[in-house]
Amino acid sequence: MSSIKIYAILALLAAIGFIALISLQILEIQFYKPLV
Amino acid sequence: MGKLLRILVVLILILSVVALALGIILFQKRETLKGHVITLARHVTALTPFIEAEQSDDLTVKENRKVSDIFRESDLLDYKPNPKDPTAPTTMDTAMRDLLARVQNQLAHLNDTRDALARRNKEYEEATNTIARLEGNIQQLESEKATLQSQVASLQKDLAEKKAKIEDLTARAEELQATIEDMKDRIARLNDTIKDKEDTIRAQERTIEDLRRKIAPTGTDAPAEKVEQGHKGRVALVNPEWNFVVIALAPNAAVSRGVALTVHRGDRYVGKVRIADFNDQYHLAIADILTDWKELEAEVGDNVFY
Repeated sequence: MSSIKIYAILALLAAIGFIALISLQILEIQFYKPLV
Repeated sequence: MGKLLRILVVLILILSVVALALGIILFQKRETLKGHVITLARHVTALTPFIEAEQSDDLTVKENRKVSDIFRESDLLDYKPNPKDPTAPTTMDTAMRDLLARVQNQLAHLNDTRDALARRNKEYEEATNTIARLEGNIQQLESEKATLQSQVASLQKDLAEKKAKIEDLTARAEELQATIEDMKDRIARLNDTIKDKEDTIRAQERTIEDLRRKIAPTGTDAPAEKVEQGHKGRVALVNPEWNFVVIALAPNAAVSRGVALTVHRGDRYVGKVRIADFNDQYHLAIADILTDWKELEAEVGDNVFY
């Protein structure tokens, strides 16, 4: 496997992680909505 | 492949920017929430000096123990559950429940106070009505008192008049008593006089008896039916005190003892006399005046008829 493919997989995983993080932050904002 | 990698890098860059923005927004919201909690805890703590920890039975007591003496602001911020018993209430929960119970107690006590106040107000109203009624009674009693005082004054005046009358009557009674004593003395003197008079009467009766005995030998005891009718003489002496007359008999006029003669003055009837005794030698006769037949007082010179 070439190194480009490895970077591509890592970048894909980072994107998935960021998407999960953003989802959690959106959920937390929705949770705070009644209080703040 | 290289093209795909570039797309992923750009996507990751965009996602990281979005995550950073959302992180900033979340930080602001947490700060706001923290401010809310601290402000709430501070103001709840500020309320504790006005919440009584316990109430006394005396409703008028103001210096009851306050919740602020046993409450700390830090208790409201301690929301950490007990690791050994996660279901146990936290310190904040316990403090808030205690505070709620004390507030409920204070509200109940306040309601009791309101009920007591309502009763006091009712009692006050009744007392006010009673006072008004009593004031009316007092005014009535004062008017009655004034009336009675005037009556007392009138009665005292009457009493003074009665006393004066009693004193006057007492003086008069004393005078009458003195008069009675004087009259008794006079009666005693008159009794003495009567006794003297009775003695005199007895003496004069004895004298009359003597005179009768002296003139008896010359008298006649002829019965009255033998006396002839007609003029028998005139009255020579009248003694009204001893109720007899002395008759100067006409010449040849015959009388006898016990004969009732009629006395006239002119044509007027004077009365009757009864011959008690007579003396033919001196032509005198003594006759008792018959008071039952008396019309006029006999006088010297009256004619005597049978």
